[in-house]
Amino acid sequence: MKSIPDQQLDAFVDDQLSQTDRANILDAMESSGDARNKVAETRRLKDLLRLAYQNQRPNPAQFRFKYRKFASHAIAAACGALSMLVLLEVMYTPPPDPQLHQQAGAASESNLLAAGSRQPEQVLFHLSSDDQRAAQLLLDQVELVASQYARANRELRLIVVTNNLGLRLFQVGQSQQAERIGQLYRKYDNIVFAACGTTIGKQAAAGEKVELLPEVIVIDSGVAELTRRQQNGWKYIRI
Amino acid sequence: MPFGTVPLMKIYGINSVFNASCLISHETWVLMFSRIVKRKRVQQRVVAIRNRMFRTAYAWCHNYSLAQDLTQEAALKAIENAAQLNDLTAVDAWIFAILTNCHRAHLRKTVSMDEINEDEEGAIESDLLPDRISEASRLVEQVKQAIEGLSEEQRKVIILVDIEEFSYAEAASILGTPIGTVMSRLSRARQQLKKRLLSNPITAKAPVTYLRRNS
Amino acid sequence: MNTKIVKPILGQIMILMLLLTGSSAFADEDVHKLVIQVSTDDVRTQNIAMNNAVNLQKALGQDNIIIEIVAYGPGLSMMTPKSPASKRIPSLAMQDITFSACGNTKAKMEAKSGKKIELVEGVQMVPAGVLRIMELQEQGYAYVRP
Repeated sequence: MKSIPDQQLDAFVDDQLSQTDRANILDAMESSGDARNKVAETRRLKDLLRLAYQNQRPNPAQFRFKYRKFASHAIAAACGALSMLVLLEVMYTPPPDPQLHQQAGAASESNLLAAGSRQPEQVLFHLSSDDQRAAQLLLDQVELVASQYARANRELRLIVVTNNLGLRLFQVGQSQQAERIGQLYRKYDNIVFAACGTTIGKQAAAGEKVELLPEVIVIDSGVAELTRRQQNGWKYIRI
Repeated sequence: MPFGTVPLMKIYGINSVFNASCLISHETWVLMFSRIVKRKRVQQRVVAIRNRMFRTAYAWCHNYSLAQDLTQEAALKAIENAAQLNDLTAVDAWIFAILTNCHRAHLRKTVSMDEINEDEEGAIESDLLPDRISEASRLVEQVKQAIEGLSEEQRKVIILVDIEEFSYAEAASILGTPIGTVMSRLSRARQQLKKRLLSNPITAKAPVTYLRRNS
Repeated sequence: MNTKIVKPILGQIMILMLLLTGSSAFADEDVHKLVIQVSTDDVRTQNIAMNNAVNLQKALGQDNIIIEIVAYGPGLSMMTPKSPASKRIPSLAMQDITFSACGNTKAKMEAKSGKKIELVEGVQMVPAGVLRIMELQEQGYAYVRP
C-alpha cells in the first residue's frame, strides 16, 4: 500500500487541496492508520501553536503611543493643530447612500429636480478653449440646466467660469456669442458669468487690450474659484 | 506648482479642476486617482491588521520591542509604497510581504552575511528572561523553544500558515519563494516540531483542544 | 454633497495644505465611483475615455470601482453605429461600464436631420447628459473629462 506523502497530508490538514484530491485523501485515509495518525498529530501541532501565539498583543499603551506617531506621520500636516482642525472641518463628508449602478436607471430628472425643502443647486461650468463648437455647447447646456430648474421651480445658482483661451467668449470683439450671453443674463438672474483675472493679467502683460462684455464680472483666479467652490460642494462641468 | 511631486489630492472636485485646468494630463490624473484609492485602502488595512502583524513579528523573533518596531516600520512602508500595490484584493498578503522584508533586513544587519544559511537552524534573539518567565504556562514556553529551534525560513512559513492562516499561495507571495519551497519547508518544520513537542510528556498530553477557536 | 461654508482666507490656507499633505479625505467606502464625460466628436479622445475606464478597472479591480461614461453634444457620435469608437461599447458594457446617452442631444440631432438616430447595443438613455453628470456628482461620483 503506497503511503501518502507528508506534503499531501499537510495540504489536506491546511485545506489547500482541490475537491478531488481531498476526496482521494479521505479514501486513502480510511485504509491507512498511519495516515490518520499523522493527520491527527498535525492538527494537534496546529492547536499547540495557536495556544502559544494566538493571544499575543502588543503592550497597548506603548503601541498606541507609537501609533500616534505613525498616524501623524501618515497625515503629515504642514502646519499645526489648528490647521488640522480646519482640514477636518472642511473634509469631504460621505455622500448619501450610494445607489448601485444597476438601480440607477434613466429617470434622473425626477431625482435631481424633485421639489421640496432642498438647498439650492450649485453648479460651475468651465470653459478654457476658444473652440466655437465648445462655446456653443457650453451655452446650450447652461440654458438647459437653467430652464429645467426654473420649470421645476428649484433654486439654482450657476456660474460660468472662463480662463485661458476660454476668455475669448467673454471678450468684446472676440466673442461670437455676445448676444446670446446677454439674452441668458436677462432671462435668468441666477447665472453669473465670471472671467479669470489671472488670464486677463497675462493678456494685458502681453500688450493685448481686454474689454469684457457688460454681463461679465472678474474674479481673481478661475482655478482658485473653481477649487474653492468645489470644496464647498458645488458641482462641476467642464466643456 | 510642483505637481509631479505633490503626493496626492483627496477631494474629488479638486481632481477634476486640476485635470481640467490642463495642469496635468488626463493620463496622469487617472494614475493619481488610482494611487489615491490604493493608498486609502492600504491605510485602512494597516489599521485593521496591526495586531496580526505584531503577533506574526513576535512569533518570528520572540522579542517584544523588536516586534513592535518591525510592525511600525512595515506599516509606514506599506502606506508610503501603496502605489506599488498591484492587486487590491490581496492587500493583506502584500502588507505581510513588507513585514517579511523588514524582518529580513533587520536580520541582515545583525548577522553577518556568511553566517546565513537559509535552512539551517537559526539563532533567535529572544526576549530577556523576565518576560518569558511571566508566561503563564510551561506548555507555551516549550512550544516557543521548539519554534526557536527551527530555521528562520521554516519559522516564517509555519507561523504564516498555522497562526495567520494564509494559503500556501499567499505564503509563497509573502515570502517571495515558490509554492513548492513553502510546502517542503512547512513539512520539515512540522516534522521537527512533532519530534520535539509530541514526544514530550508535558506537551504531548496537555489538554489543548478545548482552547481551540472556531476559526 | 454637503455644503460647508468656509471663510475665504481659510479656504486659501486649506487649498495649500491639501496640496501639501498626503492624507486621504475620501469617504470611508470600499467602492469608488467615477463619471467620465465625452462631449467631443474627436475619436481619439473618445477612445482615451474608454481606455481610462478599462485601465482603472484593471488597476483597482472591477469590484472596487463603478464607472459611467456620459456622452452629450458632439460626443453622442461615439455611441452611433457608424463611429469607430462605438465598436467597443457592447463588450465594455458587459464589463460593468455604464454608457449613458444624452436624450436632449439626440432629440436635437433627429430634429436637424429629420431621421431617427440609432445607438449601439449597451447604451442607456438619460434625459440630459449634464443633468445626469450633476446627479452622479450628487451621489459622490468623481468627475473627469478627457
